[in-house]
Amino acid sequence: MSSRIVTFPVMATEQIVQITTNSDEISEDIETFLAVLSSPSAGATLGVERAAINITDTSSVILEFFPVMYTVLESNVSLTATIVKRTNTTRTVSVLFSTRSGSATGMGINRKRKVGRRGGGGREGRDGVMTYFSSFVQLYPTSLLSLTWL
Amino acid sequence: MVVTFLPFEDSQQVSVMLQNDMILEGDENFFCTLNPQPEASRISLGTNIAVATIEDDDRKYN
Repeated sequence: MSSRIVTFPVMATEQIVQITTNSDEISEDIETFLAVLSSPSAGATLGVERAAINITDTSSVILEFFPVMYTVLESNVSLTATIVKRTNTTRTVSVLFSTRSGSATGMGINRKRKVGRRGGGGREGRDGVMTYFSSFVQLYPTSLLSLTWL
Repeated sequence: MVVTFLPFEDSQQVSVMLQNDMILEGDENFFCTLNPQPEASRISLGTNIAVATIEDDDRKYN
């Protein structure tokens, strides 16, 4: 908290008080502080003595994959992708993760659809059988999707 | 699925289950993508596509 005396010269009807705000690299929700008038000099009385000032943060939180390429042996149980947050923030943020078939067929949030193989000898495409196992979130430390390739 | 970052969490990991087989089929791939939630504000996406390669290890079975 800081304070200063604001003096109105004779005939002055208003005075401007500047308050310095410090910018940072943190993405935050709106923050608020109060400006308060007190201790008027003799002969002066206070009307509205409090003003609320909102500081609106316009900075964004950047989310992305890192790394962006993963390789895993087919015999592995799962592949783990990492999403990083590039900006400090006091906010809780979220993003939608999904998978999309390449030459490996599967399903994430995609609807079940005909999926063909690439470079696999021209075999007729089959229904993708990937299922979104949201219940696995409770069973494993990380959230799990299921991918089946044919 | 929605991936949530609490304040001061810098990274999150998401696992995609794989299903093994014994078919010789060569390496295959799929994509992981990030998309903003409709109601999200002040969130920007950097690299929002990752490529996952599944290396075929079925040679010993065929």
